Amino acid sequence: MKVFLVFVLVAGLLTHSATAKGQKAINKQNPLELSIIADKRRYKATEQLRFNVLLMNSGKEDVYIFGTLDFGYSASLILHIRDASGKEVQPFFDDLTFASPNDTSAFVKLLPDHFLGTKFYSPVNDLNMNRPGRYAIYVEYHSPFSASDVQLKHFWGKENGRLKSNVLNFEIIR
Amino acid sequence: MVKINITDKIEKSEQEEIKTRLDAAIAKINAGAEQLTSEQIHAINSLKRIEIRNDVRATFTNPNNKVLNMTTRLAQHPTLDYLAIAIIHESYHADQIRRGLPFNGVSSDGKDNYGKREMEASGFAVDVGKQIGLAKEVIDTYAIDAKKGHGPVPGSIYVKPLQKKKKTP
Repeated sequence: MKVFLVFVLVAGLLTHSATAKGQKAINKQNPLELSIIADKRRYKATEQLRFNVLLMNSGKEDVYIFGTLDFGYSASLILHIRDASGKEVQPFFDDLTFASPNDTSAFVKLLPDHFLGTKFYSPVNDLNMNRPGRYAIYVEYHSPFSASDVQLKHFWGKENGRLKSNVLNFEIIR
Repeated sequence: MVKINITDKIEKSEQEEIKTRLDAAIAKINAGAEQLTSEQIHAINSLKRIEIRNDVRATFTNPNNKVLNMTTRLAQHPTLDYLAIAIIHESYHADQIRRGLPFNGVSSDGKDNYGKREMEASGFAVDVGKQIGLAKEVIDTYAIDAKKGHGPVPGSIYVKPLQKKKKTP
């Protein structure tokens, strides 16, 4: 029994070490992490769905990002909703970015372990989640600006692609 | 003449301010109507109504009824030309909806339809914006969107390439 416990402990340490190394490598390439958090997961179709979006600097260096977190293809955040069959239920949010890359006040510096966040809210029926059932929601972040257009060092630009958040499951009830 | 509804969940003075700004933005579009083609005017007129709301986080045009749902924050944008070009951009989405263009999925050329529709709407807004004499910095914002879109740059390490569909025999 003791031998088995020691084996489990050693195996656990090895796995943890490998995961930590993998995590470190990802963070070095990609200092930003996107997550969504919700207190409530069950809604009636007549209610207003809410969750928070957090963009966290998990790296070791400061990162500059665009300071406005709006929802739309031409903004910073894209909302994705899938129904239980996996079909995308597109809400078509379309905020636009009304800022110039030359306006440095439009950008914020995220120190390591700091985050920028926003809250999302919308009536359930505006999200095309009218039918009772389960829905999966996730968010993607992308910069509306190219790093080459912004005169700031360590700017997270469009070139860095999209960051995907965790997926949250919601249930719509009658 | 597009109908405007403003939420009564905000102060009366705010409602008045928003109404004045929207009227001014629409007047600006109407003032330049002579410079537009009949197709452009038809596209702009596709918008059924503008609802100003504070219960939704983002602006959108509802594909089910072609109503522009605008946040109070956008309606109160200090630059009038931004408001005008946003209405023009969104009206083109209403026109795309009228023509039955897809917003979901991927097109036959492998491009994401949502992004394509956005780029088309921004291209339309740039053309109309120039014709009716909106400010250059406002047009420039949309010009970037019209040309490049805001999708990920090809080859980005964080983006998986699109999977080609297997041909069925």
